[in-house]
Amino acid sequence: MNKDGSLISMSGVAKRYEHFTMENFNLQLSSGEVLGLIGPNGAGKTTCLRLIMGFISADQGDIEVLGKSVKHDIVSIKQDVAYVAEDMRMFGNKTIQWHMQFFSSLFVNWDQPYATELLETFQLIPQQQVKTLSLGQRIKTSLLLALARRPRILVLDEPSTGLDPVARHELTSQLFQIMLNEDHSVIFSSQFTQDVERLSDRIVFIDDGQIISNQDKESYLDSWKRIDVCLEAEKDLKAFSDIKEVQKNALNMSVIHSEFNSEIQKRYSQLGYSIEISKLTLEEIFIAQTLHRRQHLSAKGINA
Amino acid sequence: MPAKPELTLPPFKLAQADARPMYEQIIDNIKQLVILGVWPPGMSLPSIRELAVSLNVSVITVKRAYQELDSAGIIVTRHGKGSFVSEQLEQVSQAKQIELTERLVQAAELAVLLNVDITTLTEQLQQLYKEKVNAKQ
Repeated sequence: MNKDGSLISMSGVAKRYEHFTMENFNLQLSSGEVLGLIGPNGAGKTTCLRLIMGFISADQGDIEVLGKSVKHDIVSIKQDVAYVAEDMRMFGNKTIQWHMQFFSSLFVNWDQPYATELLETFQLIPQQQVKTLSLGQRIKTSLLLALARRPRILVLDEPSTGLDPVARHELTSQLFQIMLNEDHSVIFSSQFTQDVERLSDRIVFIDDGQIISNQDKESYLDSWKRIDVCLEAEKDLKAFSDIKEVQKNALNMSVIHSEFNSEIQKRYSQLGYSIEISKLTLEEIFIAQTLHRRQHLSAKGINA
Repeated sequence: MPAKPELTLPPFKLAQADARPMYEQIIDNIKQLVILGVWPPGMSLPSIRELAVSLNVSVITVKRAYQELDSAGIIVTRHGKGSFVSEQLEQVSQAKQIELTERLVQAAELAVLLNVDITTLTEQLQQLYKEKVNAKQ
């Protein structure tokens, strides 16, 4: 555990590429927490996860995992941290069984009965050679190898991409089982906002290498609301600073607020408008947030 | 493999598509269980993690539900010991009264909407009430 009690701590991290910059990036993962990373393509989700795993090194700042510095102790960190991404390297000529044996010799916490159970769950054949697996089967194999290590931290980069709906469902169930253990944490990125919405305790929204928001899921979902109000209200909308989208139709308009609360509700009624409030799904929030940022940046003349 | 939690939970009605946030749905489910006495006063609630895993929702969702139930006085959380159904029956019976009122309001609204007059409505209620009392005896 790190000094601040977190399992992962990134502070003041910078990473610069020709067309992408991450500056002053700060992120913590607590014990027992499931953290979901969302953001448009190229936002920096993979960069963030690869920095944590020590595959790439930060230009600036500190990254600590389980109380150790990623820069100096990455080998011992990896005993307790498992990583799955789409491009996992395995030995093509070897079978799934061989990989399981190989992993059991490397990792002290390897759980063979659980590995056997996962073979069944993911419908994998242990005698099959890795090079003959489909993309989905390869991902399932990587997941099996990662889960059966019983790692303290599971780092998943787009784990559901390439999985069919049933396999995605099975994966979600396995991740729920991890939650039973309050010493274990998960950090994952996914384009499946439904999965993120269901699984995460905390949602971190990244865009352009920056953290746009970082909140516990319930507060985050609670703060975004769609308001239906009459068209005449348009002239008064400047009273609110958190509007992310306005859509007009024939009879009324829909206004998306990102920091809705009882004050805003009161304000509408003081202005004499009756409103209807509805919740948004994470998918809707994701779209509104991203489009709003793009409009905002292009209005400032920045080519996002 | 840590064994799946051996929770024998009464069925919870939860829907992702519901207009209410997930934690509110959990609050409503637990309130029902307490009001109907399925979860009696003093009963120890499942731990936040156990309930989250068995309902397939995240820990933060159940935590939020427990916090609000605690501040409403429906449950009591003792540090390090977990949460229990409140033994202060006042809170629970208050919740029961609110629940009854809410359902009567719904019935009244529907009656107005359907143009059912008050006499017919009252007679119908009396009839239903008698049937239930008889069924119980």
